[in-house]
Amino acid sequence: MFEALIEGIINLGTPHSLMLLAAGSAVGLLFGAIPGLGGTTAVALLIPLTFGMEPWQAIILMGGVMAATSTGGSVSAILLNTPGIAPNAATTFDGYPLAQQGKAGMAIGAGATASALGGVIGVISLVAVIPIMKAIVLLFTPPEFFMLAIFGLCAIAVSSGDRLLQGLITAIIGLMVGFVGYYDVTSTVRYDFGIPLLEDGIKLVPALIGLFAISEMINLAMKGGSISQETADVKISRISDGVKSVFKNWSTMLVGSGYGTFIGAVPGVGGTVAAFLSYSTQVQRDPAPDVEYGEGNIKGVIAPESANNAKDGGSLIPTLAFGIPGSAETAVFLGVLVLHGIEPGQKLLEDHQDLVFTLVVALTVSAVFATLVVLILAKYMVLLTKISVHMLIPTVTVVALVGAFALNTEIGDVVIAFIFAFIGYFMIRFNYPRVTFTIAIVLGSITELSFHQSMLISDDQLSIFYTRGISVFLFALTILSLAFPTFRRKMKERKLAKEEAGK
Amino acid sequence: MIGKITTSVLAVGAAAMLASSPAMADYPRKKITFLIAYGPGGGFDTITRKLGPYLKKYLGGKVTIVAKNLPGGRGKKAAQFLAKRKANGSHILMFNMPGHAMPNIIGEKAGYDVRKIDWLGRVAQFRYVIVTSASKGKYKNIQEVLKSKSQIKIPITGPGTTGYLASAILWNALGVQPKYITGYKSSSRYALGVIRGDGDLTILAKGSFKKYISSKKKKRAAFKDLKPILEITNGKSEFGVPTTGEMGQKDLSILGGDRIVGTTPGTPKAIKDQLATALYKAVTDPEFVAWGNKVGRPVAPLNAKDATKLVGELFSYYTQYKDLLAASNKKTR
Repeated sequence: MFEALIEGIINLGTPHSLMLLAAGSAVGLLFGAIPGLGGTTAVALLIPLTFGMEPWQAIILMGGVMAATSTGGSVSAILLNTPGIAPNAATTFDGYPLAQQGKAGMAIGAGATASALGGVIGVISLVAVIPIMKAIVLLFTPPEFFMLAIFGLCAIAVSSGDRLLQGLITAIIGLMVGFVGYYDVTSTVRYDFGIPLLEDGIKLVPALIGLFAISEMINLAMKGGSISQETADVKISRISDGVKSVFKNWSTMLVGSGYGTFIGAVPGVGGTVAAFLSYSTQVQRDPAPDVEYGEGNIKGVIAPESANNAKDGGSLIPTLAFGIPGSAETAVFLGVLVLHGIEPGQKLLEDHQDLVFTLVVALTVSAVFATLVVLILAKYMVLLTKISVHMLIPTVTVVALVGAFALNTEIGDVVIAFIFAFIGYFMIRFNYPRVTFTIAIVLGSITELSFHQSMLISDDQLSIFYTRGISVFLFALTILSLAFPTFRRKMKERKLAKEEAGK
Repeated sequence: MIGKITTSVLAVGAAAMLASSPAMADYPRKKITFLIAYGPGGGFDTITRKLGPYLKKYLGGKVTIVAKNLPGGRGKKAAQFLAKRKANGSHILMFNMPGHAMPNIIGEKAGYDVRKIDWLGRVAQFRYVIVTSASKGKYKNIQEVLKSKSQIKIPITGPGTTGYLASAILWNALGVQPKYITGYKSSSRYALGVIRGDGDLTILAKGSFKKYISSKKKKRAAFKDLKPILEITNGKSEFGVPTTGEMGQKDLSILGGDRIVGTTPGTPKAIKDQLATALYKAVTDPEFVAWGNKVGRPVAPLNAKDATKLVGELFSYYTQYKDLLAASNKKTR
């Protein structure tokens, strides 16, 4: 294994390889930052370019792209409230409020640093678990998926804050949105009202583009001014504050990276769920925060960003263990390997260890490289938040709508983006949380699917959920996460009461 | 007489006009779009992208072949799109047969009819093998499955998908009434379901199964995760297991998948012939053949005539099971 790692480093050590990596990383950043495009599109578009390359060169280029997209996506999530790719959606919850407070630099600094560290931890974890990777992938079966999804859905209660009723209403609507379209268990199409566009369900990316980006532009148009409500000049030092905040909140970053790696290792869940679970866990772990979550807590940026980057390493675990892609990008990446005459699966690690480690090194270096680029450019990027709405609104709206269209070259997706834009705007206007709505959309379908599959496996015996170790553990964790904030609040109240009595 | 002459003149004139129409004169045009009915990264995506440059080579090298993913409606969207294009050879699609034919067979609204598509030739085919978990499998061999008194559980994609349909026909023929655990998005996901014990066994394309075989171990020791218990073939088993042919089920050997390229119905014969000839040459190009063998996806070329005949045979074969397929397609819980 060590020899293969050295070979991987040598492969990347040539000027040509570094150029390829930098090019891949730059494309990844750009495709990540532009809403709707994303890593899968970038990797797919670059496929023809790799035809004339050696396999390891193609791997370096692709590795560069894959490690950089979510870092790029974090920038637009923070600055424009527009998740570049779906896994960045959770970053908007606290990233954008920070930008509004004139702390965009800090948020970008934290997001980029968390991305790099998350990416590196994900890759290190991948290498560390290679001997036991099969066991890890096999740990999770439908009952565990269900419990994991329930755990994530419970965050709705916590994320709603004092707007529990509104939170529950939006969550129910979110669940209903998630149920539209083709359902894999029965192969039937539901709630499509005969509209072909809805047959495949409401696609997450156009919906998020509408819900976050365009709705925010409508909101800005009503208010006027600029994104940042802070009138003082942008302080560059805040970027370094963001970098430092990650090290200060290292446990948040580590938990996020753990989520990313682990969720990445489970095929079919993906970076979006990883980022949301990481965010909701952070909210639940911290019931009495200095700054409320959703109002610009830096930990709300670190948690999802470390998770969605760590996922890149994690999603290679099932790829190497069983040849199963752990994410959409990995699926396209496997396609690239096949095009180059390499059969993925058992044989990949047995016969092409050098290529596997070339990818490992490329992912690590690209994660760091992308972060450095973002940190260097951050001071210019934050100027976006100072631009007048007259320039910003048309530009962002056009880019967002093109992004919604470009994903599947489907005009209907633009309509979806518009509909969600108005839903999002009314939610802002009437103070209904978008966080709970989004959590429900993201987790709703996996909750339903895993419940249904669990019932099929167990012949409708609910005992399947409480007779399996991990499932029980997750259930206990759910109960704890619901009880913990109340318990801590009570303790705090009791302490305060004692202090007051003492006075 | 005058009428006959007029008819002949008109016919010759029409033929001349067709022959000299711009659509044919400058064919192949600057761009041919090679549609992919599924998202990037899958088997159809890979083989289409790999084939593109070879097709370009045999179309004279000047035309650009653009691979375009048009996923949706489980493959239907791309077929509908192709059916609605101008019949000028500007768009081609690799169909997933019999999957693409199912809506037509069971009389569902599809927006295309595979019987009317202009077929250009077959690129590849796959056949199935039945696999079980090597470590957690309840059944060691197919005889144990057939004798089992408890219900066999099969993780699979949803009703109506190619794998589900092949399963339904196979187990119906073997007299087994399994329970399907549906909802897995792809064959690699349900294969994982079998490995971790969600169900007892499943059906996998041989090419997909091969990725679970270790190259370092020989024969049976190579089956660490999944092991084969039955192969659907009339020939000798590649993996040393019983075959459906040996069980007297010769008809089942048709079960599998064929990747057949077609273009918009009504495409002028000259264009169709040019495309079909180039496609056949591309599929039989030694370099493309070698690639297919290397990645476990051997090519199975068929010319336009034989491919058209095959589509007809597949249609007739699956139409026999129309009721079974319609029932499985509507099955809900």
